[in-house]
Amino acid sequence: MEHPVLTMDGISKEFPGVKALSNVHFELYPGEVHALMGENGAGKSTLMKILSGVYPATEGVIRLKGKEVAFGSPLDAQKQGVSIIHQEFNLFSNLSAAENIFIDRPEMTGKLGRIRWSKLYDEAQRLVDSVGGGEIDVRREVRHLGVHSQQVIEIAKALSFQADVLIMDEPSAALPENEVQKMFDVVKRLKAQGVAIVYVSHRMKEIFEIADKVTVLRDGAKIDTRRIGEVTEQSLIQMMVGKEVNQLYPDRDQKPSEERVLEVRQLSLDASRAVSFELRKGEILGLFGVPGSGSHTIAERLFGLKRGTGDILVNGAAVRIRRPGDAKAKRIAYVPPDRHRQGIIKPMSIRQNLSLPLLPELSKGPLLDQKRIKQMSRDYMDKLRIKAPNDQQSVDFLSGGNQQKVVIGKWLAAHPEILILEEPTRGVDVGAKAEIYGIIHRLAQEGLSILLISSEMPEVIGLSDRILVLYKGELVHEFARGEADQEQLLSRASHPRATEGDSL
Amino acid sequence: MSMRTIGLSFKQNKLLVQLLLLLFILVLFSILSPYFLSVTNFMNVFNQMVEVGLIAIPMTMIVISGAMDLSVGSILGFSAVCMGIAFEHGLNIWASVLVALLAGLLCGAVNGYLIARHRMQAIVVTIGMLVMLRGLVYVLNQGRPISGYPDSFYFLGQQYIAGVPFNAIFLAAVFLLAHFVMKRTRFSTYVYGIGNNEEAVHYSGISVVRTRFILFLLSGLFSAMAGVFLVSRLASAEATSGTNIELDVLTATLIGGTHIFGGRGSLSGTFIGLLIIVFLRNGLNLLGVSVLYQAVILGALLLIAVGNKQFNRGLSR
Repeated sequence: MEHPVLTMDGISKEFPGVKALSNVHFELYPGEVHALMGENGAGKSTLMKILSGVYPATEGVIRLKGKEVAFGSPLDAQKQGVSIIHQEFNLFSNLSAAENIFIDRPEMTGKLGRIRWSKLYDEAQRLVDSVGGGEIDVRREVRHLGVHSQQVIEIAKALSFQADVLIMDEPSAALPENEVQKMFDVVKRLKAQGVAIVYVSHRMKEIFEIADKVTVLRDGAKIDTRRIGEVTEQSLIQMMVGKEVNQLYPDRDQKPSEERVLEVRQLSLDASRAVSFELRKGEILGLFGVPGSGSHTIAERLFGLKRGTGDILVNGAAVRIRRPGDAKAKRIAYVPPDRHRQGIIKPMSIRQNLSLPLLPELSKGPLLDQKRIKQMSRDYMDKLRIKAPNDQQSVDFLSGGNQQKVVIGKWLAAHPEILILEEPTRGVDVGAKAEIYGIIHRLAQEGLSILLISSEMPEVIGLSDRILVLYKGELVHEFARGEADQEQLLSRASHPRATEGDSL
Repeated sequence: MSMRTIGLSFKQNKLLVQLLLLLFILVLFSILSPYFLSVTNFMNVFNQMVEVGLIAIPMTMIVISGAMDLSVGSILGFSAVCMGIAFEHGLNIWASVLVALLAGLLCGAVNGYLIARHRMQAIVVTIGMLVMLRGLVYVLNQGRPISGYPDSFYFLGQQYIAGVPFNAIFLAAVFLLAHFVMKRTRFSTYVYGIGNNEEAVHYSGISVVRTRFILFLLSGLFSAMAGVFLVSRLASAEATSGTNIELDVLTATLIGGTHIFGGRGSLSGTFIGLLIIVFLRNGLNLLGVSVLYQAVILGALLLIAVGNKQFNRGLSR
């Protein structure tokens, strides 16, 4: 029996307050493509970050070719034979492909730091050829190369370190459909050269096409490792999702009214895709799709962060939304997915953050009405139970959950009619999650119409009155409340044409 | 945590540290020069700080918003020369002042349009304006000074009221007003917000473009005002008026504790920074230190006052 090239044994990882991985065992053999699957937050990326040297495990041992190793940094891991190719490429677009492959490598420089150009180009071309990129001219600047070629450069760069293990994180995410096959060819070549590949992906179809084995993680624990022939799409989803957990979510039994608050007609997402849907008063409408499906773009269009064509009707009247201010004026609010960059202003106080969108109303002429601002900020701190000594505290010092409540609060204070929530509980602990769900539910009961965009399936299922499934910029399915479980939702979102029982 | 508390207490005391530095300079020169500590000398200093002081007001706001305006000196010169030419062509002197202010506003509007609306780099745009406007100034008046204004006009830059220069009183009043604006208005919240996280301000439905535009408009207007005061004080509009003034303005702003990357800073700090550099210059002049050495000393002061904070941060990283 062959020996594994890599063994991760008893890997656990704790972050302050969270156990991200517990006692995970993972084995990888030379020349195999091993898919790693799991929902968002299952621990895939934590495991891969440990393996690629981003941070160490709290507990556990990594053995590479039988020898125990410790990686101090990603570069260290690379030198020892483990490379990772991220979803977003890390290439210098103004340098040539060859320079990117051998950046900062002493063996390519001669005396006094002179670069040995001919050796650089020869070696680079050889590496690129070995993964089937013969048509790429390594002397060209990377910005002139297509996405597939850039990926090949990334792979060549990894191979230049004599990689035994190559981690590919969502390698098809950046590729157009017709180039995915080319990427598979590269993977097959690597496989033939004996490189072990960890293939992280959400896309079922690809897993069945390229992987030899699959390991499923859920809630930081390994569920199982199976040969690909032993599983079906359905059984994989079952493994990823596990048992349904519902007590986090409030009971929503009331019927939303028929009154349409928001109608969207042929709202363009890009040059060729457009969607139409409507949102009723007091409804929580879930919008689910894998990354790149266009759900984020819908939010950006509705909030005026991106322009395009199509009609938006608020309470039956067509509106023009060209910038966030227009959306705000039409009582559309948006809690964005990245609260650090888009939601809160870091060193400023809770009060300043909460009052920001509403300042024009909380002023007398140009002057701030400090009394009303204070009143408003205290109100919303109480209402949302933001935990802090007082509202003059900087939002810097708040926990993720409380920061998120500040972002929600600043928009509630503006009395919106339509609230777009995108990833409302990202990076928030379970307790705060339940609180935020309670808030969302209560708001809907009070008549607020909510568009919930989230990549967390339990959240979408647990809260939504209806769920729209988005696949590559098209609305492919609608579920009524109680109709969808996670398996169905995921299979619609990842492989929309499949019907039950007919997996590929 | 302990690093944080130290940082916080330092921040609260920052103004105190700056005041101590100012006091140190005042005491030092009082000892070193018999001419330094006198009402006449102080009033003279106040009379000469107005141009830098006026421009430092919008500059502080712009730096807080995370940008910079390097074209202020050229706008000053351009406005001054526009005023001189207008006056030469027979316009009433106060109408000519209005021409200067409009010229400044126009320059500010061009800066603002390119930087706010088209998101061009502030440094690039304002360096372009710096070079272009200075060239334009020479073209406009062929390098000759324009003088011969009516006496009533010299009131602005040369008149003393109860022993205090009028322009210094004006500067103090404008500083107070601007201080109030930066403490009490919505506009100031936007300025600080943009300096800290422009994207989050945009995502709050607030027009970043408008705020930035207004800032550069103000900068143009105040530079023109400084130009008017300078011409009144020196009785002449020259092609070189305002050359290098942006360096003094920025030095005052940065010594005053405004963070070069934006988000933090205050006009009170800038005011003290301004006093520090004008008294330092004056003291060194009285001691007969050459202008060249003065530049060395000012630069070193900037490195110590601003650099040491970032130096410490670099160490603790």
